[in-house]
Amino acid sequence: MKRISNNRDLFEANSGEKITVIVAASKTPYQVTFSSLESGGQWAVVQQPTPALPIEKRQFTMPGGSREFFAIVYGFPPAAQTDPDAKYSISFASNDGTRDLPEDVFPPVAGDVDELPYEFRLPATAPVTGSGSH
Amino acid sequence: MRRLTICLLFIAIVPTCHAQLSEYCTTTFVTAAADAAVARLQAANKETAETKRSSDRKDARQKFRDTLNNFDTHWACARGGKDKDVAALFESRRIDKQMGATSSGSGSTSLVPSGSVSALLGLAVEYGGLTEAFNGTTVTFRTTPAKLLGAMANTYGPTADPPSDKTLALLQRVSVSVSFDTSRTDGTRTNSGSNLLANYQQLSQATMRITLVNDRDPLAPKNWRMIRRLSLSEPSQDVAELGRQLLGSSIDVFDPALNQAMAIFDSEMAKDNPDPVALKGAVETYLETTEKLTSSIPNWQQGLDAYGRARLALEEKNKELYRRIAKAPSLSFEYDFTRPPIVSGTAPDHTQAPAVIAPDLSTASLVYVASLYESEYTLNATARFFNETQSGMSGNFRDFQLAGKWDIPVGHLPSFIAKGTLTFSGLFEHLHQKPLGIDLLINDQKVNRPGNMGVFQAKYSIPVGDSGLQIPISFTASNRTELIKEKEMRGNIGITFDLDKLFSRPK
Repeated sequence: MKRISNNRDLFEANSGEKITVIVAASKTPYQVTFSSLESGGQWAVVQQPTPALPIEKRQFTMPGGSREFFAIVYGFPPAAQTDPDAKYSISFASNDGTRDLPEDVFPPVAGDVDELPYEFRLPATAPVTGSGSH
Repeated sequence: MRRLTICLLFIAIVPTCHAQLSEYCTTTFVTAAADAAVARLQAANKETAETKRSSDRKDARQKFRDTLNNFDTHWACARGGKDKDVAALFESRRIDKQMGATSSGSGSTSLVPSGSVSALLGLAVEYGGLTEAFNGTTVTFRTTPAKLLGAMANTYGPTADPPSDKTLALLQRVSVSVSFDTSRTDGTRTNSGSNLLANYQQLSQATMRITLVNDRDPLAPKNWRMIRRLSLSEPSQDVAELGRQLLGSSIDVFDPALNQAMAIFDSEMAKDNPDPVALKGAVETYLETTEKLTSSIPNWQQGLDAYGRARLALEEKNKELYRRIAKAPSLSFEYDFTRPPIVSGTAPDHTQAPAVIAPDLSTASLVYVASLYESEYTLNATARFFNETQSGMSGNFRDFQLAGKWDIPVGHLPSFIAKGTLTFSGLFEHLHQKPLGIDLLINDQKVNRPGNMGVFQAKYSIPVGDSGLQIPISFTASNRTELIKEKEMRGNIGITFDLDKLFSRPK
């Protein structure tokens, strides 16, 4: 697995690779919703969040013939009830040992929801997009 | 695909290919995103430690990037200018913060204190007295030790142990405040002073509040579980699914515009003084371009409408849940230390009597806050004691008070009246002995009468935009004041600042 854009969460992964998605809440209640996987594959829930350990781990297997695509909805309390340091962090780990460093998801500039896309392409179909510093 | 290519070609040459963003979108998202990015970058640039500067810049980039990628931004900009339901999603407010001095301070417009306080630092400057017959200008500083500790943690260096989460959670139940009366300038009564010296001479009140019961914290396990259940519910899943479908069909199409906007951000990030106009232009162009590009995506509009219905349905549930949490009952205990001002009455021969100092006061209160539909009510039981017994006093006990307050958010008045909070308050006080603990003549009347007192107050607080500034206007009527047994009616006007809002803006 390797990141191929710094402008959004776009990765390259091999068919059959098992990718673990780790989402952690900090100073905010865990209000995260995963969409289903575009390929029709199934999520394997590795770890459920609890009030004491608000970390969720899910895993999917990279399909053979298409990209994998999903969205995650990050909910935050209304502005007046949100801690100034509230955030989520998301990271990815592959069963081949590669990892992507955790990235923070902050409350949106307006409203209470961040709905962000995550795309994993097969190597042969991955054009390089975005090269911003990271 | 041909259509898309032609349009992209025109983006570089003919600006009219762009969609026109609504004023709502520009104000709520474009300007907010650019301003937040500039504030974060400027703060990062001021950092002297390279690691922290680099980390802060990465955060600024991440937040800017997520604003562009967030599907809520696209949906709100597509619908927000046309749909009041959508625009309303991006407004929120809370009405239970007490930022002025409590009513025993000499310059308060609040008859009954509220149950929670500004988390970071509340500064209130109010003019006009209330239950006591003194006027003055009082400045109140209010904070929680947990926030101060958290803010100070960095100053002890990276090797210092930060306070544990449990310690912080416990400390978050405690808040303290100090009030200074700026009219206390030279040891005699004056109403002309206005310089804040923040010294013992000007200290008029110090308070400590401990929250005994607080079901209003979203992180409390009970609330945490309800919030988690909502995130697993069908309305949440619908939003995630429909958003995934729309993002999945558009993301590749949006990439060139996204990369262009992020390239502008990166070039501004490299400067000492990032240009807000350039960043605003980057967000604006990105949103205009992507909105235009969606016309080439099959069934985009139908998908957007379906997403909108799901999003509004979720918002209803979300709003209801957090409203319930925000209005859950809370019970707190407060101790106030109050220093009455130095007073000088008039002697029977109408000459000025020497200044006298009344004993300091200790106040113990229980404050219960709960809600009734959209409104919120506060019940308050208070006992006050003199800190010393002087000759002629009948013990230390001074008075007992029972008070109630009803806050009603007002949002449906004619448009020429700003939306605010209407508050009705009532107070019954049994005054056990001389109100100041000493005899005093004011305007030929002896200020030494115990008895019962009733006060009624109507107050309207007008928020000034989203600035954290409020103007409270109040009307108060009473059968007597503590000092003089005469009916009294008075009006007060003040200004309060919520620094939480000001400090949270760059986030």
